[in-house]
Amino acid sequence: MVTRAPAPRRLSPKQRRARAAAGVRRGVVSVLSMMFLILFGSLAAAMAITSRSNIITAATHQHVSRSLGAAETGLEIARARLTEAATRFVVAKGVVDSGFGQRLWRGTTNPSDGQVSVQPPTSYVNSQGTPSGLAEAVAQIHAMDNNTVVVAGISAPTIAPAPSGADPAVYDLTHWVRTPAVALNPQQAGVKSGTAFQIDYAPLASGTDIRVIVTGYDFDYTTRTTAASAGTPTYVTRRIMQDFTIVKRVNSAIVSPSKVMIGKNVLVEGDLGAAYTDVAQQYGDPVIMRSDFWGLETGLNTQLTRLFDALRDNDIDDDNRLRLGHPIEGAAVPDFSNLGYPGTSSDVTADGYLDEFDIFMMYYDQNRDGKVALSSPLSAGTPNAALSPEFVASGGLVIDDDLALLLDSANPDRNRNGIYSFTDANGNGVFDPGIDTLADTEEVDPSGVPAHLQTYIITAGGTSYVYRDQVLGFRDGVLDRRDSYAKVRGRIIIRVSDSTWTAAQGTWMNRVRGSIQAPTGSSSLQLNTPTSQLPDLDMHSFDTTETALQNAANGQTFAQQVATSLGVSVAQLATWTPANNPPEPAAPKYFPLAPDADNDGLPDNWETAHFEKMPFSSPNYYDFYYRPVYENMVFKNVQIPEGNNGLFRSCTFVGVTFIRSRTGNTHPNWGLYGKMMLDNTNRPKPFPSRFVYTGSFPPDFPGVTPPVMMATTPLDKADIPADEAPITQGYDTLPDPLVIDGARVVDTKRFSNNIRFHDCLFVGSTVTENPITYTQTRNKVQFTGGTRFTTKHPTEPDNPNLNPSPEHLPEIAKSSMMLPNYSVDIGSYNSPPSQNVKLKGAIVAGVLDIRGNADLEGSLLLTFKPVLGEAPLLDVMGVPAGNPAMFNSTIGYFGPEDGDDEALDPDTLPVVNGVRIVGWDTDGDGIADLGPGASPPAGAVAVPFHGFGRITLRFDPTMKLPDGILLPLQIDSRRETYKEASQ
Amino acid sequence: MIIIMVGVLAMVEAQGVFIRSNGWSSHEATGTYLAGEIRERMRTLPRHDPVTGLALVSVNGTPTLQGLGREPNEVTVADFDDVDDYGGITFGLGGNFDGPIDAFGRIIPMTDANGQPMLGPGGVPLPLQGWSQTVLVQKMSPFNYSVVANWTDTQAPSGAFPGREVDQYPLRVTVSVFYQDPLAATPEMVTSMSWIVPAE
Repeated sequence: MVTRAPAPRRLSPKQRRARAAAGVRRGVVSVLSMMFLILFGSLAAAMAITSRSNIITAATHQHVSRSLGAAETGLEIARARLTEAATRFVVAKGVVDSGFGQRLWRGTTNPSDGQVSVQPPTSYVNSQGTPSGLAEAVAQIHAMDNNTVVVAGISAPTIAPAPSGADPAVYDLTHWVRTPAVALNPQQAGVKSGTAFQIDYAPLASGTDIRVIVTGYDFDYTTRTTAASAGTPTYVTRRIMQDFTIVKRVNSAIVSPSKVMIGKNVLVEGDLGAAYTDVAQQYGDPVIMRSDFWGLETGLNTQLTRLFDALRDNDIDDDNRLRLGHPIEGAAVPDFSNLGYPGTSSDVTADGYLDEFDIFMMYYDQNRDGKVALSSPLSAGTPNAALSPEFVASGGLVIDDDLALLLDSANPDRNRNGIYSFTDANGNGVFDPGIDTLADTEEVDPSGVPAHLQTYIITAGGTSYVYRDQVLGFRDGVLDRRDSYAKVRGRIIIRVSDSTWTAAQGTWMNRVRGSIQAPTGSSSLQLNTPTSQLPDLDMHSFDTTETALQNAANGQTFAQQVATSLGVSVAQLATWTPANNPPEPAAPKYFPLAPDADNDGLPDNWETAHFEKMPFSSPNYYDFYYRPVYENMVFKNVQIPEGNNGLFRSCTFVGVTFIRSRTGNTHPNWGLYGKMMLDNTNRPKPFPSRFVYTGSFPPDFPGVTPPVMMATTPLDKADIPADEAPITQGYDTLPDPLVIDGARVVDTKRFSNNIRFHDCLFVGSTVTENPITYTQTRNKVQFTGGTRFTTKHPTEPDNPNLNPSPEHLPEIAKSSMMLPNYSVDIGSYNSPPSQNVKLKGAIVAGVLDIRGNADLEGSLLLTFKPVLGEAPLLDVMGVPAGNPAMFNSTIGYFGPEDGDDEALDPDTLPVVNGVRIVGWDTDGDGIADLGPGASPPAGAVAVPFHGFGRITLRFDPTMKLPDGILLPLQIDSRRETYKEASQ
Repeated sequence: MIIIMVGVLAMVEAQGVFIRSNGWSSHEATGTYLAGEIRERMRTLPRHDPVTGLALVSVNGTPTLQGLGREPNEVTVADFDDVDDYGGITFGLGGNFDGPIDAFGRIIPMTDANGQPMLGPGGVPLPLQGWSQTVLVQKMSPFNYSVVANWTDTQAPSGAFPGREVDQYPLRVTVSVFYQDPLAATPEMVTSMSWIVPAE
């Protein structure tokens, strides 16, 4: 049945009007209310969600930042631990290649890798044994960690295969080091909190690179659990990675365990490492450095003094410059209104600093054009040849052209494009503007070149061009801001601490002059430097049994090469006399030294043989040498036998020249046996003098069989006759006699080598063995006169007889000079302007003095570490004697007041007829035979001082080291490989 | 009517919460940025002064720590050349150096809505108002980076171990960034960032 709803009651028009008047709309209100409620509710909910999302996003960002920060901390710690592990491995091999690197990491090095020694760790007490390889060494350091957290199931450092899926083209698949996470906050048992990092070390397929993969954790924030995490909270993590390379190299232009002295007219590009520590000795500064500008003129000295006074109390960053904008340094800038440069205008070079070069510019720039025009000889052929010379004294006298040339030629590659060679048209090894041509050129349209550079345009063959580096100031005939002067363009790194040095020597910055321009962000000085940054080189730092350089000296015997030069047989050399020498000046000549057949301690031709002071031309010599003399000869890959002690004049040495000597020179009197001094005939004689003794000895010294040459002043027990031994005071403290090859030796010159090369040309390298003890007289090499070093013959570059064998070139490129524990002098105490020494690679010597003109590109490694009480700082009784600070490496000219006893300080030389002189020549050879203060005998000629010369030491960070230098490995950060990932 | 009023109030409150949370987020981002700038600035610095170092020296027979903190005459940020120079330094509001600073040591300017630096008297850019960066430097145990060591701690030699000098410990640097609202009585820490500078 269908029922019908009752029909709505119809309202009358009156009723409808009454309701409308009362405003009753019951359905509309409800609908509207609902709408508003929904609207507001939705909006409020949306805003709440948005607000919460913002908070969550920000909070997540913060925790992500924390985990990233933890990862970056881990990366820094990984770098430090890799470095520490690497420095434990001291290796002889010069280059870490793929195979050697892989074997070092895995611990599988073999005898063909040369000497590899593992040092104890320096950061903890070792109870884990010696690691076989770098991987194990890294794991050992991580095993020391406390407060570790187990993540990814790693609870201890593990050396393991690569995880599955590692790409063999990228990774080495074994010897990964995985370490437990290290928390940065205290941990409670079972509850992870705070942040942590976890490091994996992944060796790469390259063999030399290690990829560090660091995961940073923030345990205080978790993401939602997922099916994959099986209910375990997933922490916020960040993963970063970076590659590190195992390398072997040095980091400084100089590394010296002895005192380093950098003189006037010497520029250093690169760090200067001074590891000398016995600062309590007189002259015991580990490094001293002289101003390049002091002493040019009295008036300039006065202005420089004002700068030095200001630096003394105000140079906060110890760079020997005053920053104009600095509140303290800037306020201390002296006012140079007297030179016409008031206020900050004294910063002539507009580099923001006031230094010595600014004062030099102010003093000599007479026309205030911002340039100091050089003397006419130096500006000839340059774009500024027409300028009136300014760096000259009254009357146009040259002041210091060596300095001018040094500064104008500094930084030859001014645009840093790697091209800075030149065609040496006249073969003198120096770029001569107008004669030689630079390689870095740019063709130009003269009409487009600014007016002030028009003189830089060179036109040849219808083409106009400029030398790019010359436009930037290289050898352009003027000194100006483009020359960017710095005494040291790098840092000075010192082993001793500031407090130790200051306590021993007082304020020391006044003995370290010259502006120091450290790389941006680095300090100019660093003291208390650890061995990881400044290696501790000494005589044990060389394993010369492994030098490929020595092996390259595989030419004919020395005697054969001498005989060949003279056109005779080796047998005929024994009867050769000076009378056999041809008369032509350029012909090979030989002045032999006769054997000592009569056992008087002298060559039998001592009355006519050549002899000279030791050191050569030194005013303060301490020995004499009779020398055989070889002239105008060519040697190739030659070995100079021990005991030769020759003088080589105008000879050419091609390839590798190996100077032999006895390495077992440990007898305390090694440096005294064979010493000579002039007697009343003005010829050298043994000192102390010796006589023939036929008696016996109380103890029977093996190898000492009378008759013996007995010294009048005893040097050992065999110098005491049998009947005097019991009554000789101090007999027991005398050393036993020296016995070599079963026979007593009283002249060690026969077992050493003290060679002088004069006016010689080296097309290649020189190398020696590594004598155990440094004996500065017996094992010494001096390069005097116009010595030149090169790798290609200057006039016959294609002549195979005058150029190194191609197979030797890679080793020669690694080192021009490898003379460990030898005393080496480059230049004499008055080097001639013709000297032009260019050395490359690792330059190794025991102690090295350089004077005159020299350019070293590579790194200078010095091996002699002078220690009081160790030879040669002992007397015959074994009592410590001498001053370690006097065994110094001198780059430039110094004098006795600086601790260089052998030399003359040019600043103190007397002036004769307007010229500084170094002494008096009495025999007409141009070399001073008497000191400058001596009364010249009739006929003596004053020998002028040839000037300070110019020396540059330029560190080459890309150089490859030769084998045999025992240095710890290093780790290079390859920042360009940094990557970041979320997983 | 009541519903509408409640709704409006809810909206206002929600808007306020939105602004506050948005502001907090914005502050957090700024704080992270400011802390990161200090980290960048200190990233390449040695732990202790390259010249004077950090050492225990005997003063009247008493071992005394020398070299911690700023050296005399290090008066500008540009003079700070090691990590411990920054210890106890606050850059910015209420601090001992102007700031906050960026990774180059420059004062970070306040910017307007268009991103242009706001200039103060004399045309000098106004520093970021209300913000400060405070640096704490602590010496840490060498193999437990959660344990703070005393500045005078050393470790004696043992066998081949040469010992650990006073300056051969890792450091922990903590940068705390504070913001003080113009109406607030005290600054509030917005964020902090820590990292370890390992001993070399």
